[in-house]
Amino acid sequence: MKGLRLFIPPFAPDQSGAAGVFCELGGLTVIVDAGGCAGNICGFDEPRWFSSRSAIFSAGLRDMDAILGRDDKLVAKIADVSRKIESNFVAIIGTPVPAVIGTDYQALKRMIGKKTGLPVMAAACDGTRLYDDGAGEAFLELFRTFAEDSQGPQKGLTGLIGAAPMDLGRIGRQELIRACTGASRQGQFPAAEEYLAYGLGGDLDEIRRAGQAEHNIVLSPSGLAAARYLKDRFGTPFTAAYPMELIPEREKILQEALRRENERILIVHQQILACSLRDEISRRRERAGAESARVTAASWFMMDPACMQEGDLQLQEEDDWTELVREGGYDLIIADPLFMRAVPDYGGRFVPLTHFAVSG
Amino acid sequence: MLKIAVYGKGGIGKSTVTSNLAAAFAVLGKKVIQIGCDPKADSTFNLTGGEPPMPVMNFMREYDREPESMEEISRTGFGGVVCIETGGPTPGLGCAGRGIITTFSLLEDLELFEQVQPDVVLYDVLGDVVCGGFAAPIREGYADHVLIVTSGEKMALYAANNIYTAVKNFEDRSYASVHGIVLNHRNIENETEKVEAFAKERGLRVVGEIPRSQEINTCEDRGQTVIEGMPEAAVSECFLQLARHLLEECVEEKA
Repeated sequence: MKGLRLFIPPFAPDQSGAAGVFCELGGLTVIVDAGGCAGNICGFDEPRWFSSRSAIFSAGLRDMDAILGRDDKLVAKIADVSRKIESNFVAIIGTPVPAVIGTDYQALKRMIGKKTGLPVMAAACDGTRLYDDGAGEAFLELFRTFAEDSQGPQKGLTGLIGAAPMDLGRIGRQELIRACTGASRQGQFPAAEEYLAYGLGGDLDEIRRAGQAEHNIVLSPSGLAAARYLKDRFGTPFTAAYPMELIPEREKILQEALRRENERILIVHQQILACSLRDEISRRRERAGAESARVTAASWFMMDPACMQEGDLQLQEEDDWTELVREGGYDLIIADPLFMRAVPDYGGRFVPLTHFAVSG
Repeated sequence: MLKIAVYGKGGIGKSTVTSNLAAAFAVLGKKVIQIGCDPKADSTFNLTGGEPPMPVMNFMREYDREPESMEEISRTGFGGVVCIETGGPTPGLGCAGRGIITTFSLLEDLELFEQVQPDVVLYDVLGDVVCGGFAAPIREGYADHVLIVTSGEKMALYAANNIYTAVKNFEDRSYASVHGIVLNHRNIENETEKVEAFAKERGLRVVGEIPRSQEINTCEDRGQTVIEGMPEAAVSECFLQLARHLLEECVEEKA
C-alpha cells in the first residue's frame, strides 16, 4: 500500500541533510522550526553533534509567528546570537512550518545579512524530501556563496564532494583522505597530491579554494549538483566514485560476490557507493577470468540518471522492495540488514552493508 | 524582461487593466505572459474568448498530481499572450496565498520563462497584500514593478494606501517597488484631483488613466479586450499609451 511501512523506518528528512553539510564549517546554523526538527537533527541524525562544537539553533517558531509572519523577530534573534557567538556565516534551514506559510528565504537572507554583516545561506527544505536532497541544496549554496574566482587549476588538488555522515557513516577526515589516496594509487581515483574534503573536518577556506581544484570526486549523490555547478563555473571535471577501502567488510562482501558464476546480485545503498562496488566486482571477476555477474544497484535515495545502468532502480515504497526481492530472482543481496526484516521469505544469500542514513 | 504586478481593491478593474495591457504589449510586438493570481481565476478571461486555462490549483485538485508540462495549465490567447491562472482552494477552505506560492514554484520547475522567453510578464494579483502568499508576485526574481489600480472612491484609495504601505515595508527585502498609479475612472466628483493628490502625498505618479467606457463592457461580453475588439476606440489608445510608457520608463528604472 502506498506510504505504508511495516518494517522499514522513516528516513532522515532534507533539513537533517542540509544541517550536516554546514555542521563543521564554523557558522551559525538556524533551523527555522518550532523546535522538533532541530531536536531530531541534533539527537538522531548528526553524530558529530556529540563530539564537536557546532552552533545549531532552533528558531522556536510559535503559532503567532506563523500567523503574523514575524520574520523581523527571527532576524533580531539571529543578530543577537551572532554578537555573542563568533561565527563566519549564517545558514538558515527550512522545515515544514516555513514551507507551509511560504517563508521567503531570499528576503530572510537579505535581512539577516544586513543586520549581522555575515554571509547568509539558505536551504529551502520542507521536511517532505529526504536527507540527500537537503544536503545537495546545501552543498550547492555553499559553493555558490563562497567559491572564489580562480586563476586556473592547481595540479594535483582534488575536491571531495558529498562527504557527510549520512552517506559515509562515522568516518573522519583523515580516514577519508587516506582511503582516497589509496584509491588514487590503485587507479580507482585520479592522481592527487592534496585533498579538499569539503565540509568534513575542514573549514571555509577549502570551499573558497574550490575553483582551484584540478578534479572533483563525488562520493554521494548529494554532491552531484554542486559538482555540476563547479564544472560549469570553473570547468572542473568530476568523477562519481567511492573508495573501496571505506566500505566496511569489503573483502567479505567481494568474496561472496565472486564465489559463484553467473549470479544475479542486488546492491542497495547510496547510489555512488553501490555503483563503485559493482565496478569493483566486475574488475575482480574480469581479473579472475570469471564470467561477469548481473549486478543491479538500487537505492531508497537519489538515483542520478547519469550514473544508472540498465535495470538500476529507485525504491519508494516498502511494497516496491518486497516485490523486487520476490520477483528479482537474486542469488545475493548486499544491503543494510534493516531492509531484510521486510523480506523474511528471501531464500538467497545475504551480506550486510550498513548505511548510516538507514540504520545509523 | 519587464515584470509588473498589478494590485488594487477588489472589483476596481485590475483584470480589465491587466489583460488590456497584455494585449497592448502584444500589439506592440512583445511576447507576453499574464499570470492571474486570484482564486476566482478570471484574470485572462478577456484574452481567451471567455475560456481561460485550467487553473493550476484546479488541475492539482482534479488530477491529484503536479502538472508535467506548460500545455496542461496554460492557454495562448490574443496576440500570443501566454495565459496562466493560479486558481485557489475550494472557497472557504485551505490557503489561497499558499496556492500562489506553490504555483510559482511549479512554474519555475516547468521552466516557464526559459520556454516562453517573454519580454513582459504581468501578475494580476487579488486585492490587497493580505499575507505572504499575496506578496509572492513581488518577491525577488518575480515582479520588479508594482502598478496600483484605483478610482477616486474612498475605499479604493484606502486599499491603494494599504498596498503602498505594504510594499514600502518590504524595502529591506529587496522586493518590487511601486512604479505608479493607474486611475480607472468611476466618474465620481473631482476624481482626477483626488487621485492626483493621493499620489503626490506619497511621492507617486499617475502613469495611466482609463476613462469609464461602454466599449470595455461590450468587448468583455464577447470575452475580448478593447485592444482586440475595438482597436480604434479612444480607450484602446489609453492602454497602448500606458504600455509604451511602461516599456520606456520601467526598463530605464531597472537599468
